[in-house]
Amino acid sequence: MTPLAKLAAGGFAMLALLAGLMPRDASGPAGRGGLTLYCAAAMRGPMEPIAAAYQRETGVAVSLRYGGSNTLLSQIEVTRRGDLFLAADESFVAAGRAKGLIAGSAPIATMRAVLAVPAGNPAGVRSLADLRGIRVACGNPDLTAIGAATRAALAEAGTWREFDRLVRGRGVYKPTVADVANDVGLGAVDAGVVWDAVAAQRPTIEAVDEHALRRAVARVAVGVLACSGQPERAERFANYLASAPFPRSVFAGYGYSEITDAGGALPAASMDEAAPK
Amino acid sequence: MKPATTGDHWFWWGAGSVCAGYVALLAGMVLADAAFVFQAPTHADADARANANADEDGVFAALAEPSLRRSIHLTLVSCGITTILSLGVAIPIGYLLSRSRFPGKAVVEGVVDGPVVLPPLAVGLSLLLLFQWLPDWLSGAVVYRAPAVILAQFVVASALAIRTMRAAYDQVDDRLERVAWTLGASRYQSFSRVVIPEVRPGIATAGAVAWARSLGEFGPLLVFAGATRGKTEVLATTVFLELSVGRLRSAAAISLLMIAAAATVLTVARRLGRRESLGSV
Repeated sequence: MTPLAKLAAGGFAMLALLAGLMPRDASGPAGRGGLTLYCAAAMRGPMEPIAAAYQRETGVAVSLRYGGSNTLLSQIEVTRRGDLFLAADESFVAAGRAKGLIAGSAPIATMRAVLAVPAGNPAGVRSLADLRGIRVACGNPDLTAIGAATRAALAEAGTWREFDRLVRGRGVYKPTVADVANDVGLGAVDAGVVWDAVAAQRPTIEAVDEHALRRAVARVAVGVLACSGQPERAERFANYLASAPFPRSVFAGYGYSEITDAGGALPAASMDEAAPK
Repeated sequence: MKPATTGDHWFWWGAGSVCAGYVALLAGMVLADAAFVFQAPTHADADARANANADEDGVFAALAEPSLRRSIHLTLVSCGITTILSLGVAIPIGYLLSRSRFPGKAVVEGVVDGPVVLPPLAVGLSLLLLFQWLPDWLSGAVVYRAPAVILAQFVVASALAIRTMRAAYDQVDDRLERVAWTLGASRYQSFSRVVIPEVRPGIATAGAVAWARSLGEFGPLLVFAGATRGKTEVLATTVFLELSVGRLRSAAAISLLMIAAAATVLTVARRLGRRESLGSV
């Protein structure tokens, strides 16, 4: 055998060995009666136990495909596969509807913006006024729901321009609320604006209730994809998420608030019940 | 070699301090990771443990999760397959680019470097779009499944392997081949019997580079293979998933694991390469 032949034979042998060692799909047979849900990575905490419980109760496996809400929307648009989309906030669901990717949607829980500081509040932040001279992180107002909601609420209070100057000065705009929370937790910034539920899930940060941010709210929503081959089944899971007791208790445990019709929630213009029968 | 003069001392001192600064930067990053992972739990952590849903506590609990073991399993297998496939294309393509001139070679060279230069998300999106054109059974078997992990890793890792192999062929004196031809060997014979033994260290390096690159592969993989636990999750995905729910310590712990694995493979490949090249003298 020439050295090349030996090399090739070794390569093929290794390849066969590795192919044999390939792990098998353990995530359940999506497509054979299972549902595929595009899930915002930040929602992993509550969604893992909920999907497991749903499979135990109904026998329907829900395979969770994670990513940033924007990335997931792009994947749905390109592949036109899957059954459901759970975004970190409803703005992404609205964007999906506008593109015709989502047939129907239902709100699940609400979140409210708070000031986040490292645990123990070393900089002694009590309100927006205390942010002068320290490093502040916020979600980008053009990319993230938290940024947009913060901008709207502070513009109404007349403090947005000063806040914007603070963030642009010593602070930073981040692409996701998770990045803001991580920065605060690590101490890379002294304060940030995050959703109350995000702050509640992280032991390294502490929430400071700021009155001017009370109107900055967003809802978590689930959408049934227009491309789903099993819309009734998808819709059943969406309804389960939105109204069954177990998911509601899990979301509450992770710091999300229940949907109430009284004030707070954004106008429900783009929302309705899941796809018509 | 020229005897060292005072001027040379300054030269080495300069180069050495640049090198020391650079190594300190990288070592500092690793040390910061390690310090973060192994630091004593702070007050905040202790308070948090009392909280119902705060499982941040468990770096080691996170490492014991079965999903992590699966992630390691898929990582090792997919990186191995990617490495072999990358060498499979890099060994012939590297030779072609090193030894032959043909019309449009500059274009081919540009295309081959493409995956290294392109933004990772663009690579993933392009793969996803490509598979929409292919027959349903094929895209159904690949997209969002384990083969997509391998393909996403392969696209970038092979580009680096090709560069490495090409450089290895460039360093092999082509007089050896010419001698073989004058002795009546064909191009295939000289390649398989003369060139391949000469570039063995290069193959080891190219393989190690491809392996390490596929270990770190994330952007294209996230878009093309998705991140489904127990299905397309590799270690780079695990880091992302941990970061996005704020479990920074386990994210840093897994990063350390990956750094250690990559450093080991690169060091072993370098050793292997050196021994081979000494052996062939």
